[in-house]
Amino acid sequence: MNAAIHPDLICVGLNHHHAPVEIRERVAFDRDKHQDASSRLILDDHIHETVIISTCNRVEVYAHGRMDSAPERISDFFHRFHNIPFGSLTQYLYRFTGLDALNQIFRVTSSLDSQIIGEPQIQGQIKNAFLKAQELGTAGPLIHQTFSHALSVAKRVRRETDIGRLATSTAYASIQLGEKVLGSLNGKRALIIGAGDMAHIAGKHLKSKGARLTILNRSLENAQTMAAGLGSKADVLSQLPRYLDEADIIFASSAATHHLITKEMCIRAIRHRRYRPMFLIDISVPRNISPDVHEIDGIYAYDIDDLTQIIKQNQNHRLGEANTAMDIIQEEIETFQKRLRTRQFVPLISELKQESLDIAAMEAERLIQSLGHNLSDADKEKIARTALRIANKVLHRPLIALKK
Amino acid sequence: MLLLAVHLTFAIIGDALITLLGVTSLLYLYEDRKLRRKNFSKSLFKLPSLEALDALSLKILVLAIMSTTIGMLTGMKLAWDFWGAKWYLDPRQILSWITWAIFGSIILSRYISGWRGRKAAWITTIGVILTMSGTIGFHVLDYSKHQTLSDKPQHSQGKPE
Repeated sequence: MNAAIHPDLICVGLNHHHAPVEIRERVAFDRDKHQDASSRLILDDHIHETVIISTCNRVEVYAHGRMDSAPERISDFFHRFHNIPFGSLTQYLYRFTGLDALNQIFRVTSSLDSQIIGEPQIQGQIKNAFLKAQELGTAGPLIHQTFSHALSVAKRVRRETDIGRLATSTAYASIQLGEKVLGSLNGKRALIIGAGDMAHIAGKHLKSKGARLTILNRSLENAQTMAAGLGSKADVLSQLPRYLDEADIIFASSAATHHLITKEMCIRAIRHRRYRPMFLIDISVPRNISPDVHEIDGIYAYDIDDLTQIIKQNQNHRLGEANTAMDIIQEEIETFQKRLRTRQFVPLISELKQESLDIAAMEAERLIQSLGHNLSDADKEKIARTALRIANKVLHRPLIALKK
Repeated sequence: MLLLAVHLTFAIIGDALITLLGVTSLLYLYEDRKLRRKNFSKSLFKLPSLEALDALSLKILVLAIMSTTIGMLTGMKLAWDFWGAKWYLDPRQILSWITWAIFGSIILSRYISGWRGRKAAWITTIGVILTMSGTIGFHVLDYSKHQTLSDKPQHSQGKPE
């Protein structure tokens, strides 16, 4: 009875640790492919339930199925679906089964396996994948139990550790610092200078905090592409002075080789803003924002070195927090097993109970018949009740033991 | 003495709020200094944001001045009743007017010219220190007509104006 319960859970996938971005791009299940892939996977007789998770850092298939054959079939599926020569993904794909798969989904959802440990988006991405699977009808009881538990574990990790509050990425550190100055970023106007990767990540983070974005870039086309993805405005870089007064946040990450924002520009802007504070981040090298801007009252300007300082300070603390989180996950795996075991015994328990009560009722009936008609109705009832009571008492201890 | 009760209540609430204002202003200055010097220690990330502290200070300031105004108006009436023609010659009272004027002008300039941030926090702190040292100082030095309201005999401790 105390033997560990292993859920028939399988995870096959790849992530940023081993697979380069070119590979991750090729096997990603974007919105169009997602539904097709799920419905094709579930057609396989060896796979009973499935969820597909596809983010920029990982592509994973979780499934409930036959433990001996399903992992192989899923990894074949990766090749077949994406038209990739068989075997060429083998070195990148990992497979987890049973408790290891459970551990994997708990760690992923709690953001312990993220590129930026503790980043908050993954939780939402997992939730969406799970909802999608429910919508498509590919999620059954095991997936349901696993994913709802994983989401609650992630919440617990976030609640009981500092992991979510710490920033390791520059974009995230900027936001963290910005919130120290401006408070909530919701509704604040943010100006993003440049349309490269870092600008994009910062834009996403700012957007998720509710900031209203404007993207300025030398090439309007690139700015517009990025703005379309983020649902924001775009303009050419030469229009910068027009936007300066309105900007609560400026994030500069462009290839310009001179100061795009000077002290004089900022003095004018802060006066026009009636001294509402401005928060400036410059991660470009060479810098786009003149460093002496930081001297102006009401303006807080930081560069990449300042952010690195925050990131370094956070990292040590974060490692400790990750360990605490791992302890939580271990604990939750045990809880999960316990629940799974209870669920497993539910049919057995009710069967046992029903059968014993039936026997008791039957025997009572026989006794009443053999004693003939001398019995009063009250006596008959007493006999029937006693029989049931004996059955219940005998059952009591085994049932308690089973439920444990 | 309903008037006296009102006077005391609002004067005490006003003083309490001004003390609180001192705390929020000092916190603001501390955090601002850390952000200026790029000293990103743990304590920085535990404090509320600058913007939140600034907004909170303004709220407390408005409440404090409302409370103090009621305290002062009732005080003037009481002074007139107690001390007659020379009602305005109490040092404690004069200090109240000065601090009231300081805080009033801080509020005005915040609303009119959008004045805020570090300078506002400094001036507020100075105002708070002045008020507190006045309140405490006059009690310790006994240099106030307010002694007439205490349980001490009227003439043994009260200094001549």
